[in-house]
Amino acid sequence: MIPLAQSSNWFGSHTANMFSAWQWALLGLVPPAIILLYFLKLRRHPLVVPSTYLWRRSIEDLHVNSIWQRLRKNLLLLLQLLLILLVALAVLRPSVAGRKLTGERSIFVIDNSASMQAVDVKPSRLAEAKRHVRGLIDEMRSGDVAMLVSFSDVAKIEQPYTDDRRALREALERIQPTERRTDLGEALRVAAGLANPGRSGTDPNDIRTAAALPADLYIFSDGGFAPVAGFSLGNLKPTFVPVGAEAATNLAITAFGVGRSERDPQKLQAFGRIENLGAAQAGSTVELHLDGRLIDADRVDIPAGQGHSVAFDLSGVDTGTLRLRVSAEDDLPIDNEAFAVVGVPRQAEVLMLTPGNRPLELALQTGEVSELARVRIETPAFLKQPEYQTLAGSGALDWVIYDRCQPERLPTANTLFVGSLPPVGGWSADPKTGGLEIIDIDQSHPLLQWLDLGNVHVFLGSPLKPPQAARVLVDSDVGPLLAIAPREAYEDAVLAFPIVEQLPSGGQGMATDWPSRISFPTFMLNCAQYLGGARRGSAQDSIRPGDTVTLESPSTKTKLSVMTPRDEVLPVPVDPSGKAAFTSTGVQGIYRVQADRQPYRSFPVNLFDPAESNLALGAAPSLSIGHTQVAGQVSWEPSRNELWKWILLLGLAVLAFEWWLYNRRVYG
Amino acid sequence: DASSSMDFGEPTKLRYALQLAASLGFIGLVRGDRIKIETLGQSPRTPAPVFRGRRSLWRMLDHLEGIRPGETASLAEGVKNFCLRNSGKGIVVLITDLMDKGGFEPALRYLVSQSMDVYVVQVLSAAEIDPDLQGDLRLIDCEDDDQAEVTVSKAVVDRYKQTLAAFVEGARSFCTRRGMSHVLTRTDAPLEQLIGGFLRTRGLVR
Repeated sequence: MIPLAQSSNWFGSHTANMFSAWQWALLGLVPPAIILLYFLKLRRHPLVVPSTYLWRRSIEDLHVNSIWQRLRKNLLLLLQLLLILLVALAVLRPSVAGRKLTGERSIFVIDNSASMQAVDVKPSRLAEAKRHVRGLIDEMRSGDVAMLVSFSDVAKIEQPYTDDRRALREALERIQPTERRTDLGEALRVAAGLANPGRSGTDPNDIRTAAALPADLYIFSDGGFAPVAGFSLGNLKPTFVPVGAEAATNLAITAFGVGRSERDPQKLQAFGRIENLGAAQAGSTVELHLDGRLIDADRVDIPAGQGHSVAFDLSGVDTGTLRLRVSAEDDLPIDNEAFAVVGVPRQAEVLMLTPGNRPLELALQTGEVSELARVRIETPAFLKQPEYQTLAGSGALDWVIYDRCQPERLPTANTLFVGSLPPVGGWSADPKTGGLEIIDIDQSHPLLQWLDLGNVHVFLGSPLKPPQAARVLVDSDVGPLLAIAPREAYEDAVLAFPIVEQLPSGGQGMATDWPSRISFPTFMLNCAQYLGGARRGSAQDSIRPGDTVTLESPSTKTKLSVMTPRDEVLPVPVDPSGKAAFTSTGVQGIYRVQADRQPYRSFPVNLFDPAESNLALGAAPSLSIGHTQVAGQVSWEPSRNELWKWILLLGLAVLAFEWWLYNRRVYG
Repeated sequence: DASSSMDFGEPTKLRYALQLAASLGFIGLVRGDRIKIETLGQSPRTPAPVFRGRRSLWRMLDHLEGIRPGETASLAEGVKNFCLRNSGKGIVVLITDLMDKGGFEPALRYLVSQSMDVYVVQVLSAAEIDPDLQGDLRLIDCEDDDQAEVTVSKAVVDRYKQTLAAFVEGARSFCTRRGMSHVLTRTDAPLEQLIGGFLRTRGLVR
């Protein structure tokens, strides 16, 4: 490469001098030489004719009558001069300032999560990110390859590695905004596939099978996600391009649901929480719509960074779909709406097999549980009867409680074992021991929500040895007392101690004082809700966009379909157990499940993610990937985009035009 | 006209002119007319031989065979000398291409002043009527070595044809206005067609 000895700046563009003075002088002689040659005229073939008399008169007539004839002669000269001018310009190596793609392999990772719909940069953050990427694709040199990945909470390879810039541009245009949350981890694993061979992301002992292909990783995102832990960039050289304004205005609904009023349990109430994630105090009207009809409204004024709860009375409302709307305009409209469903709850079908357990029966007969679940109580002898076999295998049961008894095969339902163990799944227990002290409980699990077991004493129990996949919920000084483990589509919970113990004398004694605590009926209520699949009150729980919903079919022969908020009807295959997994929950709104074309149930999908709704990038945005901190690239390293190839091409076009014009004059 | 310009064409214009002269001469000899065949470059003091009677046919043909191209006299000068040598009544057939940079008008005016019936047969070759030229050429006049540089394009050829048409039309108009007959012929046209057709209608041949 010739060093850029001198450079100049013309209207924002740059030139680089490739010639020395004498070379320029030589080039400068070319135009006068062309003009000189033009006056010396062309080499003409001599031809003897009878008389030049008529020819001369013809030429004179043409000269006199047609100025165009004269112009045509001059046009060739002008074209030749233009050609040499273009050549001289190309030699000057003009260029315009551009952004630099430093590597031969690039990976463009574009965030299309919900927050990228923010309009704090016009027309939107996603459009701005795509504009950046389009510019970088234009900068690609011949031989450079690039890959395009979009990500929200899932990653999608929009275009595998290619040097076809048109394919990349088309793939870029196909990227659409989603309403999902953000998780960079999967996108990084996808991007790292070729750069770090052998890193499957799941198996650290994976054998390296191909040579590493280092790549530049360009991440276009507005952040809004947790640091990516447990990922090593390896051969990826990251560049984070933050998209969005430093500060933005956003009032977001972060929670919305329906529940019983604390004062009057017979009444339903709609609860919502609105957070001001902007930098200034903001106010808005909050509207509540029932089936598209405005039924209530409230006014909120929220200081910056704080939240405010609203509650609406739903007296007289039995069924319907609710929509909560923040009417103020802000930078992210999609979190200004939330949805909930009010409906008749489906009662869980519960079977309890017990030799007799009064405290347990009482706990399942409370008003709350009765509303949620229909409980059938049988003795362990029922296990041997054909009716049990039919019930256990049909999927008609939601939850089965085995109190000090054990079935031969586990049912197609969730189970709770009290003082006994599941026959399969790797469960075992230590011998019975007395005086167990509860030392830890996992309150994050739905079964133990709102529970305080500090005042519970367990007199006799067999500490559990749960399988590896199990989650210990209650731990004691000698071992786990409550654990839960997944089994295909179901879960098995095991309580290590019986509530009551059969005494040798024939009577019953308490193995724990838990039934006398308020936490016991609450635990059974949680079990009814979680293991029974019943829902509290009259509301369906909201799920997040993109999450999977497990639908329970009234029977295995029922055809289920779901109508999305965009009025698309999607069939959902039902598996032999009568359950169906529905995954197309990409957009917010009410999803209406139909069983054999009849309305069956509805469920709402809401964003409810303060991290996603928080649009502020801050003054120095950065990403944390593994142990690497990637600072946001606010400006690009300048580079020269040389134009000489284009100018030479233009020169060739001029030459072709000149040749065409000459031939047209001579032979046309 | 035995000038150099008549030595072009396929056959040459001069060859065509000699054949025409021989044909007309033969008709005259058969009819017992007095026939005289002269070229424009002929010296004023050496008049051409006179032929009469069928027996003079071979002599006339020998005379015609002796005519060579390359005479340098202009059209006007040649006609003037002819008029000086030949006074009196008769029929004059001038066979020429009329390509003279001095113009054909002075020459024809000399003929008008004679009390003769004048027929002007303008002979042009096919290459002159429909030139097949292309490219950058330096055209050299065979008579005076005059050079004309021309880039022959379709437009130039079209313009040449227009000029030629105007030139022929000018000659015809000049002759008609002065009681002369003008006939244009091309060297690739059959001679008998010219004699049996056109000249017969004009009264030159019965």
